[in-house]
Amino acid sequence: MLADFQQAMADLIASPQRCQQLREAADSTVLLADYRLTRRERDRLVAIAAHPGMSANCTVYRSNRLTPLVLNLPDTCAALGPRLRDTVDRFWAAHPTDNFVHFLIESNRFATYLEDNPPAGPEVHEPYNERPP
Amino acid sequence: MPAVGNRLFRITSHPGPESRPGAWDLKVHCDDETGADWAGADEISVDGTADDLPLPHIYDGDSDTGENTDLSARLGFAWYSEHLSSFATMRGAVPNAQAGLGLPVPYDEDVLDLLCAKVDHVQDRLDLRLLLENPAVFTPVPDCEFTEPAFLNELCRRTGCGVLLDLHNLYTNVRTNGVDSAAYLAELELAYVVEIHLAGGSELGGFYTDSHADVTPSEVWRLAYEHLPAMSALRSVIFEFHESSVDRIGVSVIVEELERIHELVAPVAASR
Repeated sequence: MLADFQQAMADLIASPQRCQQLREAADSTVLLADYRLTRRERDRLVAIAAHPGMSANCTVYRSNRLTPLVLNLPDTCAALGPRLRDTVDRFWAAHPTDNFVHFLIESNRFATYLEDNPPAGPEVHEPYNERPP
Repeated sequence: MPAVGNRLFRITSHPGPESRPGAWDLKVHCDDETGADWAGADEISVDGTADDLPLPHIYDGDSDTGENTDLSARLGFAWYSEHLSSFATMRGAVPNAQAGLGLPVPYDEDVLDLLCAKVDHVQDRLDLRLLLENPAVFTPVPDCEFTEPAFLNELCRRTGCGVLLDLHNLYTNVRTNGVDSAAYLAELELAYVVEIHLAGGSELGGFYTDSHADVTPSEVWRLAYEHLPAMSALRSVIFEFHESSVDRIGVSVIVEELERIHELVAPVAASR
C-alpha cells in the first residue's frame, strides 16, 4: 500500500547502509518484510535503491538533517571534528525525523543527546554553552 | 527579510502579466524552520499592499488549514502552491514524520484518485485554487501509469487546480535523469500553468541539484522564452534563490535576473 511504500522509501533514503543491503539482497522480500507492499511496489523500491540518484537522495537527507546542527551548534560540531559523522549517525538512528522539523528543537535534541551520550575522546563542553534557549 | 515574531517571511516581487501589465505582485514565503505561530501575521509588512495585489502563498501540507484560511482572509492570497511530492510518512516510529526531502510520487491511477480527493479538500477548505509544482527528482518511480505531465494534466482537469511549472526543476531532471524537456512541455497543458519558477543550481556529489545557488541557466531561459507565450493563464514568474547564496550571486546580479524577467513577460503581458 502507498503509505508503506512511502515509508520504505523514506527509510532507505535515511540509511545508505539499508540501501546497500537491499541492492545486495538475494531476496528483497526479507529486507522489506516489515512493510505491506504489492509486488510492483517492492520491485520499484529495489529499482530505486539501485538507481544512481539514490546516493544524492541520501546526501541531501543527511545535509538537511545536519544543517540545523551546524547552524545552531557550530562550535560543538567543530569540537567533535572527525567524530561528528559517527555521532550524528548514532543520534539520527536514535532520533528519527519528527513530525515538525524545527531547527532549534532539533539542535536542542542533539545537545541533550550529547549530554546523555558523551562521545569518546576529548570532552565537548560546547552544547552547554551554545545550546538553543 | 522582515521578521514577524520569530517567524521570517521572505518577500519577493515579480511582474503580474495578467493582472496589470507593468504591475508587480508580491510573493510571501513563510520559512517554517524558524518557528513561531501565525499570531504575528497581522504585523506582516505587506499588509495594506495586499488590498490590490494578488498574493500567492505556499501551502504547507503539515499546517493546519484553519491557520492558512485565517491568513488568507487577511492577506487575500490568490492561490496556494505545494510540490507534487510527499514530505511526510505515516508508518514510522513517529506518525507524519518528515521524510527529510520530497519523495517522488508514483504517477498511477489510484494515486491520482487519492490526490484528487486531497486537492478538492484543500481547495474547498481554503476557498482558493491550489497549484501543484513539478518536482526535481533524483530517483523517479519506475514504470508509472502516467507520465508526469499527463498526471498533472489529469489532476488539473479533475480538480480545477493549476500548475506551478518550475522550469529549473525540469532542467534538473533533464540533467539527472535524461528527461526530454521538449516532449515534457509538448505534453503538459500549458494553459494550466499559473506560475513559473526560474532558478540556478549546483553540483553535489556528481549530481546537479536544484539548490537555488546560482543564476538561471541559459537553457532554462530558453525554455521560458519559447513556452511562456502559450501559458495563457500565467500570473507570476519567480526567481528563486537561497538566502545563503546572496553574497556569492551578488545583489546586482539578482536585480539583473529580475529585470530580465520583466523583459521576458513584457511582450506577453502587452498582448493580453
